[in-house]
Amino acid sequence: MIQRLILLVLLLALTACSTTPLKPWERGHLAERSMAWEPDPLAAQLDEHVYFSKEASSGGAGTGGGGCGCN
Amino acid sequence: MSKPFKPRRPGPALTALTAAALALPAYQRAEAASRDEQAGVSVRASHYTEDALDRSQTAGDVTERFDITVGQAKGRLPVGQRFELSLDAAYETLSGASPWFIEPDENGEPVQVMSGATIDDARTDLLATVSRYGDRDTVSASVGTSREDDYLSYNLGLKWSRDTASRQTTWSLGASASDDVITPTDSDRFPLRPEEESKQSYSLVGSLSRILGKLTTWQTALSLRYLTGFLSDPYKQAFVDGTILADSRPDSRWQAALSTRLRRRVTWAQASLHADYRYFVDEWEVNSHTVKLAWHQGIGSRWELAPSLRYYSQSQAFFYRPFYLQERDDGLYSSDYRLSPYGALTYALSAHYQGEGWSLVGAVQRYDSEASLAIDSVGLANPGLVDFTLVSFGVEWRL
Repeated sequence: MIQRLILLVLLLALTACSTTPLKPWERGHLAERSMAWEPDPLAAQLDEHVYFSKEASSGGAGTGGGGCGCN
Repeated sequence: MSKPFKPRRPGPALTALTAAALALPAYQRAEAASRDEQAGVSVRASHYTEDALDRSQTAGDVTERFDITVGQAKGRLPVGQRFELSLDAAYETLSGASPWFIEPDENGEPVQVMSGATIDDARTDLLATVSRYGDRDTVSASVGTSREDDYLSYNLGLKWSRDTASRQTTWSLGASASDDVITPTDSDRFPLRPEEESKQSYSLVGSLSRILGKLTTWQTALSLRYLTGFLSDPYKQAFVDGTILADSRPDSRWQAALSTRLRRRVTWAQASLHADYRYFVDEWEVNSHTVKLAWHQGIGSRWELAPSLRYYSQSQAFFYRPFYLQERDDGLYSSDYRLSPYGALTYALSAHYQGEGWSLVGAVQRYDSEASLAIDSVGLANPGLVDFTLVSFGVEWRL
């Protein structure tokens, strides 16, 4: 399963390499608030902490921060 | 004979538009980590209550669980042409009871025993970050601490990201470490609790963010984490062949998570689609899948509504059992629901209002976990699985 996922991600990465660079004025939609990876950073921090304290999994795109007593 | 082609200088309107576009962070790079030229402050208050347990699956009278309130604040200050300082703070209070151990009833079905007395605790979390923004590189360093009555953690982090020349792609690499000490309360009254223990964790995260077109961005990340030291829960116990023993887990744990995120602007609907996926695997044989879909619907120029759905499914740790009918050779025991096999659904709705230099946000989410929601079939469901409803309200100012 994990091997297939890695293969899929690598294929996507190779596909992405072939896109034509956008001009600055073509990036208007990408600048919308709702297109951010995390439009609401405080909500994302809280969700990450709540899920970390209640589930066995953690990790993702962000770098790990402080822990808590909830092993 | 046709005239030779001479490129025309852009007019003042196009020049102004281009300059304004370049000033917007997302115009410049694939990752939304570029410097915001304005200082800002955000505050947020959240509250959630864990549902009481089913009385038929609980031994004793206590079925209520935690009631938790969280206050958060974030400040951001650009300094000079290249630097930014930011400070994140959180204060959390919690009160209630938590699952203690699980015992079999007369039919061999698991029933939850809760911690008897009400537990009151508070957590203070501080994180300071300094970032330097170069033409194509960004470097951030952070230092933080997290304190509870029985817990103290210090952490450090470093992150470097680099745009390609076309600003179409951003690579980033981050590393962090934390050193934690736990001093369980009432260890003199409960002989199974240790007086003091410690653990350390080390993380490495690499990511690739990519603009796939005028309407689409994509990111993938691989994170590795190693934990070592006391990784058990000092407040939990396990029923082992009629005897109650301390929760006891391995003293090291490798974890890996592969995640990918897609953002797609749907222009005809004035909306954006978010699709996130994460695969997690660790040395304790836990693996999980997390899928989250969100639809950010703009309404007019100021409002946005964002319904979302998150699905999570995990397998169990190799040493986990609801209860143990005989001793294990390796001496590892845990009946913690967080190491049990289950699945969970989160339904959420958030609303955002953009004012002039300020914005408001409100959100509500419902988390339901069930053994039957797991991808794989589960033999004995853990009776301590948690459900909760969270409400949240926040304000942000740009100074």
